[in-house]
Amino acid sequence: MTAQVLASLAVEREMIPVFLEPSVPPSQDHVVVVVPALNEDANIGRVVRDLRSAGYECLVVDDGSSDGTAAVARREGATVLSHLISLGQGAALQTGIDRALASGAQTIVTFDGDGQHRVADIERLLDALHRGAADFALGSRFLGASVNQPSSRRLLLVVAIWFTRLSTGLHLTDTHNGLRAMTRRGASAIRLRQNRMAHASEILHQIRRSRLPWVEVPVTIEYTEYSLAKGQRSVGLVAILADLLMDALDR
Amino acid sequence: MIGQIAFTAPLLVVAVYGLLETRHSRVVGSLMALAAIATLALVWAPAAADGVAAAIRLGSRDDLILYALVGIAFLIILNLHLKDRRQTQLLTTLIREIALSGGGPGDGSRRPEPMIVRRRARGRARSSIPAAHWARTTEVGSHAAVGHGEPLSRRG
Repeated sequence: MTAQVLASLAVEREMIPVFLEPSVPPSQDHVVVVVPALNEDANIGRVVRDLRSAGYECLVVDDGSSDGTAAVARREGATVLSHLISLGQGAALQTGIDRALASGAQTIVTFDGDGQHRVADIERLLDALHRGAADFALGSRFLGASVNQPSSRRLLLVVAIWFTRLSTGLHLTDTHNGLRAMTRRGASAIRLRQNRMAHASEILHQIRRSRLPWVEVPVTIEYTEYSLAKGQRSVGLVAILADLLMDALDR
Repeated sequence: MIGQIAFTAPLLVVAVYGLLETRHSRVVGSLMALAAIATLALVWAPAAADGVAAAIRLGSRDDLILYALVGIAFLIILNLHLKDRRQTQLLTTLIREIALSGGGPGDGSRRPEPMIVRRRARGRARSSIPAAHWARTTEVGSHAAVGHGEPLSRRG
């Protein structure tokens, strides 16, 4: 394991593209839903149960939770990976994507652990991937619906959308939606360096750079008191901009 | 003259350091080197420094040099922050590999204890590694040896 860790550190440092070989034979309809979670023991059980009952393989990445998130998710039948310390949602997503690719997944879905996404929307994303011959299907609450969305959150998202449009050139209607699906080829083109919330913008930059086809799909986001309390605040936008700026300088 | 010499050595160090740092961050490293060299020029050419200070309405050359030093300090801090980010990236890779190898805080219900704590007692080293950690380490190691529990394989 030591040699592997050192090799991966070298890869990370030099930013060499990483090629992952499946450890099990791939099947054409192997879908893995990656759920990053931090201190979500109140909700993760329901999320995993819903995903499992819809027939999806569920991979929960516990990002250093101090509660029983991992235990609850495991009890409900999810595969659980645990970070020793909390690194951020972007880091958890990349861990999940790495594991899903290694397990031979042909399609990878990212799904928030706070219960604001609907499991039924996954089918629409997968459908769009196959019908649209795209490598990325990106959920859009502005094409679909938002339930109980506060106006302040809407304003924040509009600013983020315009910033992302200007910086990436991608004309998306929703840039910070955690519900996405990607093919194996698409997932292999993604290498997140942003550990925290700036990963949402970074994914779009990398999609743009990969030149792989993408499609937007209407989805529904349900805001609850719980998800709003855990979600981003307005100052988070400043932190995201700072992270992106630092990433640009660090080259 | 003494002041000029006193400024020269640290500014030269910053200039060389900036040039070396261009390996990691072209923008910040170059700016550091340029700012240090420009400040050196201001220190050694007082007449020119007076002209520049007057042109940009900064009062005297002393003020100009002070502002330049503040700017260099800012760039050094920015560079340290970027170094910290690089360390965080390495830590991320390490934590990720541990997670992918099946290591982690178990049921996630509590923070992990430090993996290895050594202390000296009565003149000789004594290990206080918790037995559970030994067991886990052994388990992961033996899995790796027979080719299981290694979800990743990489090629360059």
